[in-house]
Parts: sequence; C-alpha cells; structure tokens
Amino acid sequence: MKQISIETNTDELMDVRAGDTILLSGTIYTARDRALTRIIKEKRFPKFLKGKVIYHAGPSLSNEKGYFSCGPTTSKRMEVFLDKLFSNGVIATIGKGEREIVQHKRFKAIYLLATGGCGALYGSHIKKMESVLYNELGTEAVYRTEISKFPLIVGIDINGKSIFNT
Amino acid sequence: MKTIDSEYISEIIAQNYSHINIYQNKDIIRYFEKIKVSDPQKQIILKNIKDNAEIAAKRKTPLCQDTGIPVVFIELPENTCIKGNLEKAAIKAMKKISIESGMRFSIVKNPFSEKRQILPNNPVIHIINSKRKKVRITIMAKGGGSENVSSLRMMNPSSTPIQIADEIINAIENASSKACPPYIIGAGIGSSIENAALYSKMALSGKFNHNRIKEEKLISNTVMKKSKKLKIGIQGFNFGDTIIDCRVKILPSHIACLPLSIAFNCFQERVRSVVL
Repeated sequence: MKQISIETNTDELMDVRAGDTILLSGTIYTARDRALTRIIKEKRFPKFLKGKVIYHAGPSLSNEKGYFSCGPTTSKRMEVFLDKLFSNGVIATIGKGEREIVQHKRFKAIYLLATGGCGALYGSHIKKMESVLYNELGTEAVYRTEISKFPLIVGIDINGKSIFNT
Repeated sequence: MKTIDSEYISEIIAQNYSHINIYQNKDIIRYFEKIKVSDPQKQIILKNIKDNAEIAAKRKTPLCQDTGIPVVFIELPENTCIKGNLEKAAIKAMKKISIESGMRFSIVKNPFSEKRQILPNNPVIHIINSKRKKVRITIMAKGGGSENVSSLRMMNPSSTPIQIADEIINAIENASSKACPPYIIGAGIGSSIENAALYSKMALSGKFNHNRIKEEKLISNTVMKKSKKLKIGIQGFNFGDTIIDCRVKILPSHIACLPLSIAFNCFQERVRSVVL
C-alpha cells in the first residue's frame, strides 16, 4: 500500500487513482450530519477547512486508558453538503459506502473509502483529536484529527473515475 | 408472584451492551476467515475487519464507533413482575457503563432543536409475555446506518410469498453499500404496523422463532437465492455475500392488510441473550 502524507502538501494525494489502496497520514477534520448542516449555514465558511480533507465520522468516548473508536459513517447522507464544501476548497472526503460522482467530478475532489464497522482500527491510527468547532455537539463536533497510516481505498479520483458503477 | 429488581435487569443490559460492542461475534469471525481473495482492495477490507476485531478486544474499544441504540427484549414468564422503575434504572446504568467503557452517546433528545441535548444511550425496552420458565433478556446494539435502510410498507393481502421476497430484494438493492454489507435481514409480516416492525426486529436478533413455517422458509430461501445475483457483497465490493441470513416471521393478519417490515443489520451483528 502506498504511504501518503498530507502534512506539508497534498500533491501526492491528488495523484491517486480510483481503486488505489493507500495509507494516509496527516491532519484531517471530522464533520458529519449536524456539523455540516451548521457549516453550510455560516456566513463565512470556516477558513481552516480550505485545502483540507474531511472525515465523515464521530468518535466514541475514550475508555479509562484513553482509547476510543472512530470509523467512517455513511457518505451518501453527506452528498447534500458537497457543493458547498468543495466550492470552498475542501479537497477530499473520507467515508463509507457508495457516493455519486457528479460533485467530485465537477470540483476535482477525491473520495476515500474507509472500511465500515472498523472504528477500533481507525481509532488506533489516530494520534490526537481536538474539538475545534461546535464543541456542544459532542461526537458530532468538528475535530482536528491527526492520523497515522489510515488504511483507505480510493473511491473516486480527481478525474471522476469511481470504483462504484454509479 | 415472582419479582425481579429493575436495577438488576438494568445492570445486565448495561454490561452486555458494553460486551457485545467490544467483542466480535465468533460466527462473524468464522464467516470472514473462510473468504479468500487475491484482489488487493478486497484483501485490505478483510484485513481491516480482522485487525479491527483484534484491536477492539485488546484495547477494549467498541468494534464500531456507532455503539447503537440498545434494543432490549425482556421475556417475562407468567406471574413474574419487575420491581421498581425500569426505565429510570436502565438509563442510569447505561450512562454509567457508556462513560466507563467508552461507548458513544449517539442519541439526542430533540433532533430538530438547535440546542442539542445529548442523552446517555437510553435503551428501547420491549417487555414480552412469555411461556418460558425463566426470564430471558436479549440485548441488541443497533447501529444507525442499518436502521436507515430498514423500512415498513403495506403489501396487498393477495401478495404471494415470492412477491414478498421480491420486495425484500428491492429493499436490499436500495440499501446497496450504504449500511456495511453483508447484511442480516429480519422480516415481520402481517398483524398491525407496529407489531410487524417489532417482530421484524425480534426476527433480526435471531433469538426468537423464525423461518419455522413453510412460507417463512420459502420467503427466506428466495431472498437468499436472489440476493446472490445482487452485485453488492462485502462493503459494496461485490465479493462474499450480500446477505448472510434472512429471518422471517409471519403473524396473524387482518384480511385487508399485509404489513411488511424489513429490518437490516450490518455485518457487525451485536446481539446477546441472557437467561436469569
């Protein structure tokens, strides 16, 4: 599997092709249903998301050893937010399950697939999570998330090629 | 009259909710172990699922961050009653265990309210009159993804078992890869709408009688057979199965109605029964 870091720049990530299996490292931001509903209503789109990768996920609580789960949630539900996200500079999203190609193709944005139902695995590849927006939403807040070697499959690439026949 | 303390029941619900969320069901482990693939994408999916179960058990973290709504069936024998306020005791026990064992608080009091009030995994509890000699408690941790693709529809009472099976196949096609396939299906057919839904969930748990009568078997077998032609498979990558099991329960019905409730579970089936 190809190791890709987005810590300093995202060039390598933009080169991936549908079907590639990658290990992604760097800083990403979680955002799912409620946070995205709020973000698209904001007068000013949060600057820190420009050029960044959004992970559709909401972590579990930490146990007594500080370990937690944080796998992907269904991407399909988030399609209604994509125009706004991609037109404001979000470059990729991570989630699970099929997704429409249209918006990804229009904005040359990438869709990465994490394996659903594997929250413990993905949680173990997270070095740090810090709530940076809408803290009151609990698990649905936006978390700045430092990931190390996230095992992912490229679902849709910048040319709009998809592994799903949609 | 025999009485059982609501706090005792609540403790069992809470402990088992935590357990099923952390330790992968052995049948699931065996199911995935049998699948052999050479394609790198499929290999990585199988590896992720295997690694995930090991990491969850080792670090005592939930298999899936969506630790689900706890759905509980309490089968009460005749002349047995529950002492105290079960709802209150169960909420208290769920809150405690969820914090202690790092579950997720996924339930909000009012989904429309801007000011979100997050609830401590309040369980949905069904108390069922039973012919059993002892109390049995069945706990399911039911995730949101598979709940989203579940549905209830009113069939024509003249529908055949094959038409019912086709309707279930349609629902599976619509679910596609959205809810972590391979899926388990629970179908409740007949009675009233809420009863069909309840029995579809009970059938889904696999802990109640299902696929016993001729038509239940026919519907289940037809769904299993036709699902093999669906190009969905594990995580939507068209390998392995789309459906692991289809559990059907038919109920006495009004002559004018035939409700069909189709409940889905993701591959990460989290269910357990305890006899007191």
